[in-house]
Amino acid sequence: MDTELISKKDLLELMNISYGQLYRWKRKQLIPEEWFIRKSTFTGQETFFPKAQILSRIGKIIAMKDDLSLDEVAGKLSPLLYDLRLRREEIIERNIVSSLVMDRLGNRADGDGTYSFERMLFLFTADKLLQTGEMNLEEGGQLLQTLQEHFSKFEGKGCDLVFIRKMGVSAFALISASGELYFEGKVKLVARLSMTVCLEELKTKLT
Amino acid sequence: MVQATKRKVRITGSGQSSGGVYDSVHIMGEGQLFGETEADTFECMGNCVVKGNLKARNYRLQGEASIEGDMLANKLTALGQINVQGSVRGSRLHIRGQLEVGGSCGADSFQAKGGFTIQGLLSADRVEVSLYGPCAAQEIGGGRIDVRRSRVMGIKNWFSGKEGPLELTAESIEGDDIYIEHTHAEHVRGNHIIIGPGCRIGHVEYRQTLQKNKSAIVRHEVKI
Repeated sequence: MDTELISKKDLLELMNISYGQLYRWKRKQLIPEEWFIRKSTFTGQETFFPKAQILSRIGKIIAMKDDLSLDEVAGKLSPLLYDLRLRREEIIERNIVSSLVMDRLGNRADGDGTYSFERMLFLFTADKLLQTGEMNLEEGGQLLQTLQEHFSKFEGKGCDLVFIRKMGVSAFALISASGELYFEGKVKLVARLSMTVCLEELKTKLT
Repeated sequence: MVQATKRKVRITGSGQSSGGVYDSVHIMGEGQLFGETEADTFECMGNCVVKGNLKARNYRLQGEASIEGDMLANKLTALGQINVQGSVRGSRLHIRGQLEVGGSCGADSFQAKGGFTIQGLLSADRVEVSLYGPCAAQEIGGGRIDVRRSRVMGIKNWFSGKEGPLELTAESIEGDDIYIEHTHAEHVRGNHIIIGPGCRIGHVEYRQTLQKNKSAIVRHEVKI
């Protein structure tokens, strides 16, 4: 998928911001590293950005920066640093989440009928576990709730989803990616999924 | 949950410790820390090696340090040499001596008196460099950028009679207000740019003002 790019120079002019601001926001991780695309032009190396994403992101930052400190702004922006939103039909059509799961679990779209990237990630993860047959639909609901409540607390750092069962009772947990976990004997570890891997899979499906 | 009180590490002479979360780490002499380390204050006089990432609110060094990972320090004051394999992030970095960074280096204010090599981007709201030795970064970006050659070294070279490579080299320098001396860069972009003596610049793009010293060589200049 070819995204339209904008050069750094044009961006600064268009949004009326300075180099200092741009670098500061990059440092505070308000603008993800991946958006800085280096390309060689006839005058040498230049930096480009995906146009639609960077314009909406910078618009948001400018709107918020007067009332909030930059660190607070960083918290408000989606930790996944991804602004893509899709409609329900698109999600099903592009085979991201199966229609069954969308019907049963994904009935809560945001106001304008679209799903944020984060929501998509949660549904995608649930779909993945359901497809393997390791989890039933009811547990899927539980899973979504867990993710919604706690996923953002990792602030975009990698984490693992742990799904365990003991004597038929299931439970979910989110732990930071490198954490080691040991269980008592009767606990069955049904699945341990790296959310970073899920995120990457979803990203490739989207592009 | 009961939070265990954080421990302190003190190494005098030669010693080593495992990584972990500490209240403070003091090293006098030679110390090695194995694994990721987090400390409120990290003070080292002498030699120190951290095998892993280092996170410190207050980092003070006199001597030589090598961090085999990323470094995050709120306030970093160093006299001597620092070697970081990963990236450095902080709010106030103040370095006298030599800094080697494998990744990029970002801070609110970056002040270096000495030499540095940064493989990635050096970015700070305020970058102040006094050239005492060769400095290099792939890119420099920020609000105010000030690069000056130290007077003392100029006099020293005068006596020793050899003109060392006392230069800053960067592929591109971008900032709002830029003052550079003895700098070799392919691109310089900014609002107000002053190009001092001894510069060799490929392209200059400026928005408001540009001043050039007579001895500076600028191949191209464009006002946007």
